[in-house]
Amino acid sequence: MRLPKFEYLEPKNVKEITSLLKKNEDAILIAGGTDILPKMKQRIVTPKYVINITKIEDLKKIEFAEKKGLTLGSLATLDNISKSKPVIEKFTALAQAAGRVASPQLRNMGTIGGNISIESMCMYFNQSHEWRKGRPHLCFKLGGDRCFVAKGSKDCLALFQADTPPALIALGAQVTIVGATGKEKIINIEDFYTQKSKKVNILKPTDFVKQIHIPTPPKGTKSCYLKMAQRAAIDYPIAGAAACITVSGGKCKNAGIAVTAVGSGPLRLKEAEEVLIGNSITDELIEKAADAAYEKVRPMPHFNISAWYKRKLIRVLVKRSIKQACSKAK
Amino acid sequence: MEKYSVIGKRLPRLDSVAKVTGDAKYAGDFFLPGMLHGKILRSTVPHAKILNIDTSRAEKLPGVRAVATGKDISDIPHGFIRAAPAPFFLRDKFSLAKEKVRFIGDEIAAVAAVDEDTAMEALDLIKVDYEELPAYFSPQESMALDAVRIHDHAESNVSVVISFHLGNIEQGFAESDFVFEDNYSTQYILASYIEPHAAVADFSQSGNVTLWLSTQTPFYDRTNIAETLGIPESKVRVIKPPVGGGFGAKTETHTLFTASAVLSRKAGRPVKIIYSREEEFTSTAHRHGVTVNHKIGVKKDGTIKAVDSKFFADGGAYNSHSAISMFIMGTLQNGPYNMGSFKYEGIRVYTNKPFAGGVRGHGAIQPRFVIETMMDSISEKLDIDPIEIRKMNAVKAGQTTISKFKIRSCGHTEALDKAVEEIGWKDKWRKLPDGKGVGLASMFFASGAAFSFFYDNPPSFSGVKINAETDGNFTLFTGTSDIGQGSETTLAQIAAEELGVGLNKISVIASDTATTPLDMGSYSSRVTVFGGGAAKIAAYNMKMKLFDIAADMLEANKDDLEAKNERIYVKGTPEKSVSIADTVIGYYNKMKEHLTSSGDYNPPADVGGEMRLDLGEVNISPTFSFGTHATEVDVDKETGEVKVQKIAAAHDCGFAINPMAVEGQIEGSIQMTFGQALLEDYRMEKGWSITNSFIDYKMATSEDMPYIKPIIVESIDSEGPFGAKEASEGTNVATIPSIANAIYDAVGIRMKDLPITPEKILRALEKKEGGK
Amino acid sequence: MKQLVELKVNGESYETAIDPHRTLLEVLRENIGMTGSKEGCDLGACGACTVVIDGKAVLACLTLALEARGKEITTIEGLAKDGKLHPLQQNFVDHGAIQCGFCTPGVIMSAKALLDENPKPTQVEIKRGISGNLCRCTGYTKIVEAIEVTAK
Repeated sequence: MRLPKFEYLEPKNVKEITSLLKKNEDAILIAGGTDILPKMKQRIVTPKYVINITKIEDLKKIEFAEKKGLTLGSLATLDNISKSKPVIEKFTALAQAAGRVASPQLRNMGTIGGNISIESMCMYFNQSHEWRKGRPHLCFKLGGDRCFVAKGSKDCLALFQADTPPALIALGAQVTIVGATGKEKIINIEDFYTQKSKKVNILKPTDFVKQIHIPTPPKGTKSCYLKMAQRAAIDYPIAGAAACITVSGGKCKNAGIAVTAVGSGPLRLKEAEEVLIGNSITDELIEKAADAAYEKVRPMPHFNISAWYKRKLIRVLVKRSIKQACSKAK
Repeated sequence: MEKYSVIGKRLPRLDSVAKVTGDAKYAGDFFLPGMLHGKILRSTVPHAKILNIDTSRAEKLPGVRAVATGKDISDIPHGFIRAAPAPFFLRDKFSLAKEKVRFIGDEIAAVAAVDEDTAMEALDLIKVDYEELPAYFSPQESMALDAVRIHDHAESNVSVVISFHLGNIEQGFAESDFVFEDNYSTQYILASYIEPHAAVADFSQSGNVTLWLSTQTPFYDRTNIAETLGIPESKVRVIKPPVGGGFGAKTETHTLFTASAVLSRKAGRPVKIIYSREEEFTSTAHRHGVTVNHKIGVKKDGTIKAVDSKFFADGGAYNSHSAISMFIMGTLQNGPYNMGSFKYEGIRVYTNKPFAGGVRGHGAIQPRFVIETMMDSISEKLDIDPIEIRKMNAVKAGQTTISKFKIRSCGHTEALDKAVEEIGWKDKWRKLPDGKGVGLASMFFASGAAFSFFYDNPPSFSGVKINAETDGNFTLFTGTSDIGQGSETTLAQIAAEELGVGLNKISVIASDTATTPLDMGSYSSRVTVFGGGAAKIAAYNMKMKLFDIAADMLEANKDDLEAKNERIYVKGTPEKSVSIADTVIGYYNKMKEHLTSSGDYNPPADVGGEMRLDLGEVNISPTFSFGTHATEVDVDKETGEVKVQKIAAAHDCGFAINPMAVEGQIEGSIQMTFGQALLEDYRMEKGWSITNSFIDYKMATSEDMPYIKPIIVESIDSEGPFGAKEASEGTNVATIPSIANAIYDAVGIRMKDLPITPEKILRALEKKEGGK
Repeated sequence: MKQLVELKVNGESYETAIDPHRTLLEVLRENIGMTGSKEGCDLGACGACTVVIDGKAVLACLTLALEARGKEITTIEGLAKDGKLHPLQQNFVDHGAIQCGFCTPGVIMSAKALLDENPKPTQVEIKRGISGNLCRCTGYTKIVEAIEVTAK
């Protein structure tokens, strides 16, 4: 499969990105290209301009200082993040999530900015032009009037499956977005997502993600991301769960729990967090938190995986991720 | 002293340096001057009459050099079964649709343009008017009485029925103390070679066409291409460069082969077509998905008395190997156990889906899953050790089965013992903690089909020619296809051993229809016994010619000579010898002709015969391989995940010409059946293929594969070259049931529907717990 | 519009005129004439096109050729030096780690990047290191063995 034709632009700094995005409608940013280029080959995306931002070294940094926390430039690769010592030590769930994305080559290419911005996927949408052109109807995601995943659905039911977002949510990350005016906006990563499959994040065409920041977790904090996929590599999760637990004086002071591959975006499970916070963590309590997660999620079926199974899996993964985080937290 | 100097050795493949340096040129790596790029327009409806194809806009697009449709090809369809005695109308596929399309992905037109971008653009400009017909996506729908016929030549949508009855099953069941009956189903899977199909065709002004194809069967392709183009076979030259895996699915003459030639003829320029991975999924041959009803009658002591087997296969839109597939799904149940009596009905049904053909373990994978799983149930019910029940019923060397298979050698018992020992069966079976288990399964397979499915009057089943050079080297010409299994090296090792020279003295020229002897290609695990057999005969004949000359030169009796270390010696008199190089020169001086030899392999008289696929009593192969897999698994009872820890895979390959290659075949073939057991699932919805990439089609990665311990068993066969039998398809037939049986040992559930996904395990576990 | 680009492949400079939408894989194979890197799936899921850029294994089918300007690109053609195979290549040959050979260049490039970064990987690390390279022939066993031997 060949890429469609486009004009290629290569900004040298952050300011140039904004001006290029403003100047050129129908432009798309690429960094690793691992998500966008396949979609361009399939003619799902056919921009007039491709703006390659990988020459901007500033955006590749992974910086950690105890006081400042962790700052990841949006171009930091998943491989570098997964192998970064401070990330492994202090933000374990993120290192684990980044280290389980796809394959070594795709982690070398793929960036954190790209991973959090991955669109939802669906077997009726992520197909080639040759495949799609014969379909008698368009689905919501292609601007049509229906969803093939569930007959009669009023919304697109494409599945969000990125690995790092639940880890970032559990760790309390913030995203810095640069808008059309060049002004920076910092938001909690949860608010980055629309929970709508048709367009999963809030980015406008002229926006871009500059960096991600995670405050240094308090003492006694440990985190864990667990992914279950059909195979060990080159795969999206059937379900993924991240837990970040702060234990102090034998009690859970704080908890962040989030899951992925269940719906239109990564999902924070406050109900499960609340079960833990303020209590001493026992196996029974963890089971309760897992039950709360199970009660809360209403997964979408995806491909050959049923909603029933995803929900069962969320219960198990939430339980196990809390357990693993706590076993280290003690 | 060791018996052999070249065979039985772990020698690197002849092509290995070319393959590690990027030097090996596959079909898609050929770039000819002026070469155009071709693309195929495919049907977007599952079943329709074609009312009109308007190619005018595509033809006018700048850069387009040729457009071809069904009008540009002859009226001779192709299919894998071509020989006259075929009892069914089996050739039913046109390279480009002639009136109808029968599945989404069916080929309608082909375009050649100056580059791929233009060819793709041109496809969108071709307008096809259809009259849509009702479409059927399951055998049940397709077999409904009022269903529209998918092929006019067939009376219904049943593509093939094969049935036969061996012995007397009524009596067999009457004599049985227990009758076990069960239903099973298996999924469509894909061969999934990493190299997509590729073709480069160069039709010259003189009317000859040369093609470089990614194929397993260059001679069959030559015939199909000649017939499709309406030109004599001798005008078509097919060259098979290195092929990036085939696994059965490259035995088809897929449309790119013929279309590239048609386009090249039209455009007067070479044309390359490479299938996208998506086209591989939507439009190439798959393994049959089947539903099975199986009945086994046994005595209290475990003796099998009767088997009644009904297979129902989704064949997709075309016949391909159809009758062979259905025949061997039945006949390959007659081993490694004696079945007492056996009745089989195999029904293959046309549906509006991509067609099913031959894939590694062809026809053996599905029934073996059923039989070996049922053997486990039976042994449990009768309280007989699963090893014992298998040994008790096992066929033995020297025996002829009820299906008339002559068992010349049989290493089954040895394979079974070694596999279970390796897995630690005694200490593990029924003894591991909940969630952990071991399972075993045995298998057998044919070493090549002893029928000519394709040619009415082939010169032989396999032919090899050898040229001698004056520097003491030999060039071996073979029509067999090395598609990655290493058969060129195997044949060279056989010839080198026979000629008493090192492997480095043999060059191989293979799979070029203009220069190599006619061969049926690589399928049915035939190459070692058939091609290797021919190589041994050709080398022996060469040796005799050399001995004739050397006898004069050494003033010795020809019968006293032996060839070793690149010299010819008088046995027992090491000081009397002459080099092979000097002998070749001596031959030239004396005979004034080139020194060549040839050898042809044909199966012995008690094998093969008339191709009556409607009879079960046919000895299908010169000899049979045997084996056992013993597997250990962990099952996560909360998630349903199965982690296969180890597979001990013992295979009786007769004699390992190259043990490293045999191990490679065992290890590699298991990757496919491991995947079919647990991961791989080609899915369609209303005729639409939705598994179109290696992202959605879950082939096992390096991190998924269990530890595989290959165990080579050598039964030294009387028919195979140096005692060798097949080691390429039989090697993985037992994997799936051994995993399923291990899952049963681990968590007590019988999985009868492939693939065994975590979700299915969890549902089965819940059902089991709920039932308590 | 075509642009003249200079690519540094296996230590040598190649100049070629290309459209921006050409991938590095296409340019290596079609413009530069290095066909060792293979196209297996074209969507980044098989690893047959793996090359090493600035020390990291990446997929040439998802890399724009323009993006690779100014970088050190190593392909399978660049491993053997002065007619001598790279130890990885030699061990792949000796240990039977090759069958059809179509995945081989990509696997070797992944293995090279792995060993350059981590000269003494464990077996688990090796399996992970080549997990982005699908192989249908070998079951990966002898590939892993060849890499293990090279690392010793």
